[in-house]
Amino acid sequence: MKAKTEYKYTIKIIPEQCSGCQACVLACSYHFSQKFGLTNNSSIQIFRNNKNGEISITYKRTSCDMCPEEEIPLCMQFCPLDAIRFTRTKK
Amino acid sequence: MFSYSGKVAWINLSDKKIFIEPTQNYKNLIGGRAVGSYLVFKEVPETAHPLSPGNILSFNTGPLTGTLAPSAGRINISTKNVATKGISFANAGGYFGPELKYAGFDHLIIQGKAEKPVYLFIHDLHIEIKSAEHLWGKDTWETEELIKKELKDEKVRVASIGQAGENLVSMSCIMFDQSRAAGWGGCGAVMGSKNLKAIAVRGTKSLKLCRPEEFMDINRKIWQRLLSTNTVRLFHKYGNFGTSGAGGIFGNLPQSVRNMEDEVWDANKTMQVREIIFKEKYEKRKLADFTCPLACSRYYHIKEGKFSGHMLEALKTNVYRAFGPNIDLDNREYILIANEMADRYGMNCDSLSSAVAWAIDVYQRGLIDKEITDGLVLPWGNGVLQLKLFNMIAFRSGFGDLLADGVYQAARKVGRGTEKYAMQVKGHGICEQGMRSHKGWALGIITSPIGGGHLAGAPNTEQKRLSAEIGERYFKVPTAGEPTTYVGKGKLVSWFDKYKAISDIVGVCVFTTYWIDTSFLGPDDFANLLTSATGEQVQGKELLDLGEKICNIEKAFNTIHAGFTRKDDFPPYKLTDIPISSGEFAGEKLSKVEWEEMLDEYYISHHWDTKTGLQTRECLVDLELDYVQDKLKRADKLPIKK
Repeated sequence: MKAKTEYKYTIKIIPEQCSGCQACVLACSYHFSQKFGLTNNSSIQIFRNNKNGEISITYKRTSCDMCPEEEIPLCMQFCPLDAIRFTRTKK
Repeated sequence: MFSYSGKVAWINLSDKKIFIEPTQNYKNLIGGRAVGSYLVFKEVPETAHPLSPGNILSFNTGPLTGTLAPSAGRINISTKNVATKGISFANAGGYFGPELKYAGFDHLIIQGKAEKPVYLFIHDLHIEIKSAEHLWGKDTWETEELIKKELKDEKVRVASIGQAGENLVSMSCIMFDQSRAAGWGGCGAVMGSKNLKAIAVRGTKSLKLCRPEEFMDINRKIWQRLLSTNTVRLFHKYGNFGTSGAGGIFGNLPQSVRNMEDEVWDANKTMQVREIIFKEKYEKRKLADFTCPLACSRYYHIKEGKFSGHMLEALKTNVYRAFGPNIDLDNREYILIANEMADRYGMNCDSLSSAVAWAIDVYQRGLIDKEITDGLVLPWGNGVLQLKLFNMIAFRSGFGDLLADGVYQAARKVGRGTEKYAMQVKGHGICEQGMRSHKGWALGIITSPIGGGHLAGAPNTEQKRLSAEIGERYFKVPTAGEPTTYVGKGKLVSWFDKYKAISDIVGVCVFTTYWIDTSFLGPDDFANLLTSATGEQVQGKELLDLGEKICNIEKAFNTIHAGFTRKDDFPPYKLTDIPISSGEFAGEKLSKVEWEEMLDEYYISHHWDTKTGLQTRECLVDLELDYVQDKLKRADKLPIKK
């Protein structure tokens, strides 16, 4: 009998869709600290390179708890361009 | 203080002394433009030239700056206006304002003048004054890059001036994040006059709110409301430029053509610069300012041709207008490069265009010749010439030196009847569209205390064609959405004067307010966000009252320092005498008689004297502005008795 695969849901951020506005970073900062800042309190860091318009995103999967008290994670709620999506990975 | 960083830094560049005081001292003013205008009013003597050490440069964030409120990345810059000698406030987005708060300061006030070029490095409550001699002569993009390298931190946010600010050019501005400008009033020249090349900030602190959960509940609903509107969808799809540049999405909005001679541009030229072509040929991605749900900005990449390889965040509507139709130029790439050069040199697009377009205009009319232009021939629609003139202005070389003092001063110096073609308000150059047809819009621009510009009282209700019912419900003005109607517009503009001040005070972009859409942030939304963020109970009406108070402080500054009266609230010649050539508003111009009546209504709505346009004693008493009255009295410019 084939073993049942178990999945967990997490998020992925699509850099091409991101406008670099930092709303998700602040939402995450609020979630973990009840404060607003672009600090390491957030599981997401966004950096925009003014010289070429590139946006690089760092997402710390290990520290993200998917906002268990929310229906959907706060970062998704405040992303104006739907750049943050659910994704499924094997446990 | 919740939602604030809690500190104000006074930095005197003359003696390098730094004084820190608590933000609490300005609690009643809330923040932003209110603190900036108050400090300029209080600190700058009447005798101080804008470019003298006696002027101050005040950088002001608001209590919402750096929070998750929509578009909460704004910073205000107040100073004495280089072009008008009255008040100036300019407002920029980007990421500098939040970073300043995270570094521990709500306001920075720059005084005096450094002996040699310097820049400031502000990081987590530390302020360093560093040499900028190696940066002097660099443009704003180079300056930002060099400072980041020097400080070994790519995350530093930089406010800087380019060569235009160094050379005290009247239309110079302060640039943030390469493409965000605090454009008005020559604040770049004020910074240059202080030998201050740049301010770099880096902060790792966070902002603590009084009732964060309540704030988030309110904020979440506001975001959801904004994101559900068609207006936001249009911004996402077309951006700032697409929604109102090149005649707007449907090509039927007014434009500013050939030094504001007309408002309808040649259809073929308009087609060359439609948003869809920029999108297909150059757009690399959408960009947004700090926590902005609109994402109205775009990053462009020119991939082929003469300018192959150039990349920039570009083309807000007024930049397009200024460097495209206002000089009759339909070459997309030259418009983009003009945007880049203005950013690099650090020059405000509106007042820059007003000087360049005036020069071409009066040359074409035969009022000036090659003797004045140093041998230059000035045709319309020439991208190479536009860039050459930008360079000459920024470096004050040859004919550029004349234009560098702004269109008003240039026309005064030249004379020969060129003065009436200078598109200026109170001595400050303008480049706007729709002023002949949209009467309230025009009134807001002309009565703006900073010398034109649409970011003071100019309403957007006419462009939106709001219904009488909406106009009545939101503004108590049923004609708010009727472009060509004068009646009601005085009342409407006076309301927007105080309302738009609120967004500048709290630190939120005016694009996410009623100004753009009545589903966006209104006075009560601001009040609810502020109350939960700061813990200080405030009502929407109280914020509007504060807005009115600030407008009166600014008005009094203009009376004392620049001597403005009713006569300074009149539109320039072209708008009253040259009608729109064709299209929906063919034949429209501003009627002098109806302008007078509209102006009366405007003054009455502000409780100002209709005969002189000055403030009344009763108005200042009602607003509890005793210190304003005292200063007017000392300057022998007493407010008029009713």
